[in-house]
Amino acid sequence: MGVCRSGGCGGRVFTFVSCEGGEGICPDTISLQALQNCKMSGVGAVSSFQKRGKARVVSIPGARPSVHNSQLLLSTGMPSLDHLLGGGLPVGSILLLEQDRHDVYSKLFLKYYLAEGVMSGHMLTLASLDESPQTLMATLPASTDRDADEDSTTGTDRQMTIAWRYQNQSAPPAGLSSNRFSHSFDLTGTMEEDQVAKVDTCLFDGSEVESPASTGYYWPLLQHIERRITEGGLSTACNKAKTNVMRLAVHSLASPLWGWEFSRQEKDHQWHRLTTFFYGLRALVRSSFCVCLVTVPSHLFHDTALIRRLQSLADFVVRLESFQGSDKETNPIFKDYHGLFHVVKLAAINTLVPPQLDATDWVFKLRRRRMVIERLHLPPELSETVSRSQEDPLTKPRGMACMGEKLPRNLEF
Amino acid sequence: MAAVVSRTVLDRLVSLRESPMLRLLLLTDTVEVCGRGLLYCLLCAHLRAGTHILYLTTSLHPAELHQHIKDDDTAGKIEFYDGATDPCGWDSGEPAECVTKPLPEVMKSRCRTGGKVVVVVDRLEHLMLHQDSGQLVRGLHTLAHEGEVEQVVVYCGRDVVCEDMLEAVTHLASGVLHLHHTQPCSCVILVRKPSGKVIKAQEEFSLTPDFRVQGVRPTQKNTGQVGVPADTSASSDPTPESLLAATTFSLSLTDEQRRAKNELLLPHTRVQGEGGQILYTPDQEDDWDEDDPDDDLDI
Repeated sequence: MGVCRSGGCGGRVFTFVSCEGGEGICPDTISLQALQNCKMSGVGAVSSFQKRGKARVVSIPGARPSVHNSQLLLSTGMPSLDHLLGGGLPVGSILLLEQDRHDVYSKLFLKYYLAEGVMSGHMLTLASLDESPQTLMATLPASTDRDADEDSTTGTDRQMTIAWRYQNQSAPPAGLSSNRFSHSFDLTGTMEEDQVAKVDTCLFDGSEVESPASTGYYWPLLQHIERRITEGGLSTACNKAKTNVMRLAVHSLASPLWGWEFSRQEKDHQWHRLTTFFYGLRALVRSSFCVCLVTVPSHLFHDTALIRRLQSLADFVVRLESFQGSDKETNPIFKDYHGLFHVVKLAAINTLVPPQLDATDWVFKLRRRRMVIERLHLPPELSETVSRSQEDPLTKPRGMACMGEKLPRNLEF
Repeated sequence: MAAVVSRTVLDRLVSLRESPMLRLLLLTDTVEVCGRGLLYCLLCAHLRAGTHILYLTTSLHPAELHQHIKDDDTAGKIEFYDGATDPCGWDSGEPAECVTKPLPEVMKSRCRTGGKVVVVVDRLEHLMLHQDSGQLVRGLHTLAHEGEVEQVVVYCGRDVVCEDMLEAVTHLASGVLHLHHTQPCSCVILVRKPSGKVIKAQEEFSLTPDFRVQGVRPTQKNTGQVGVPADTSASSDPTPESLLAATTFSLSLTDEQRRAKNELLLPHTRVQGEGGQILYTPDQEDDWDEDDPDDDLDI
């Protein structure tokens, strides 16, 4: 018996899975915050319901435990997407986003994800070859949270007339707002540069790779990420208490600039660079306090087996299908929306099945200030031009004797 | 240049009124229809606007090209990189640098010397014979994002170049023009703006002898309507002609009467121009989205 001192389960008392030389593995956080050794209080110690010593429950900004299982979740920046993923993105998982044809909406998802990271103060690592990562970081949506200082100054000046007994009570501490799970953003504005500069950001745009023809970009990027994890002490093998997480974002992986994998057939055996990279990425992300968003232009892939492989390696997979330039643009069912949102795969981490969604057809809609994902609702059929003869007289049930010409010939009483 | 507001995408593209300027423009043709004319139109427009052109040619000799694209009386000048005479080096012993080296390196020396340039790659498929596809695509991308380069125009035949390359360049390009063999010549245009707007259009045009585009018109679509067909006429109503024949008084119009009817201006209709617009700039606090909640009512 002993006390788990890891940040994830918050100092509870358990029976340990295995004890070796005074150290054991907490069964609760065994999977994602995997294999973080917990210090036992002693092999023969009497169990107590009190936390031994100071409970070093370190709270990571912008993270909260899931209601379904005890995982630490991070917000993707869009509350509707968080809802679809079961509350948020678990630490240590990869979200694969299959881009729409022209990469318009998927870039917005990426920007929301990065902006959420900036607001929560997470470490950011962004890799993008198609578009300059500096441009992406410079065009993040502005946050609509009002400053905590603003609130407190307006509150103290007012003379309360009805609730005068509460006049002398102090305002609630402003520190609560800094550890919010999900922030709201406004797409019409841009986040200020100094706010983005406060965050530890690392950008990869392929310029430091000397000979892309021989090494490709995948392996250098993987090494770059590993170096960043080690420097930040985010690996679960490292015993330091974790105070922050890292958000990884890879934009348009496997596009023609990264390599020519998109055009090959499975039988050519040319995909190993990409699939090995993805596997390595998954291993790195699983064994550290990281979360990853990868966007992929899957419409370019000739062989569907490639996207299937990437899908099986990722934890959460969603696909955007925009109506721009397609037939569906003129379809009246879809006239309010900008595209279909397909949830291809949801992760079942520590559970048998993932949290079930109550609908299967989702659509996304880009409003002026934000993007939302909604259930697909068919518009109401109110027009008078709808033909009334919808029911086929042949399929009408027989036996309704009072229906005019359907009167049976022989009336049987 | 005419001061007419051009509503067609092709007009805006060719007269360089598309803002911001498309960084990477792909122009494709087939064996049946030649896109050189449109290419020369675009280049003449650039020359008139004063931009210098760096032209890498792999099929036609620079002297031939100079006959068509004249830069004597224009502000912009054209400079040729000859990849057509001896690309493989059979005569000179050395393969031509301009086709084997990556594009940014080839254009580097000229790019840095101030002023905006436009880079033209004539016949992408010939360049593909000498360079690796990945390297070529990366070169095009780097060149298009170079500060001094205003536009990179890539000209290729879409029935000869392999699909992968075509898809790769289409993925990276901000504008794509596919020419089709119709009478008159038509093209399918796709423009991707940095703001996220995507414009797709199909327009037909013709060219003047001095390389200007004229007569641009959107092609009439003959595809059927998508959506819920609301046809009830097949089952219920008899045709109007038979009804007309059944009555004893004449309801039909002769040609003269029809013409007179069409020309009649009713006393209460006012001839309206473009006036009466509602200019609405949403406020900071407004969360106005374009869809009207009453849209689904059809009364």
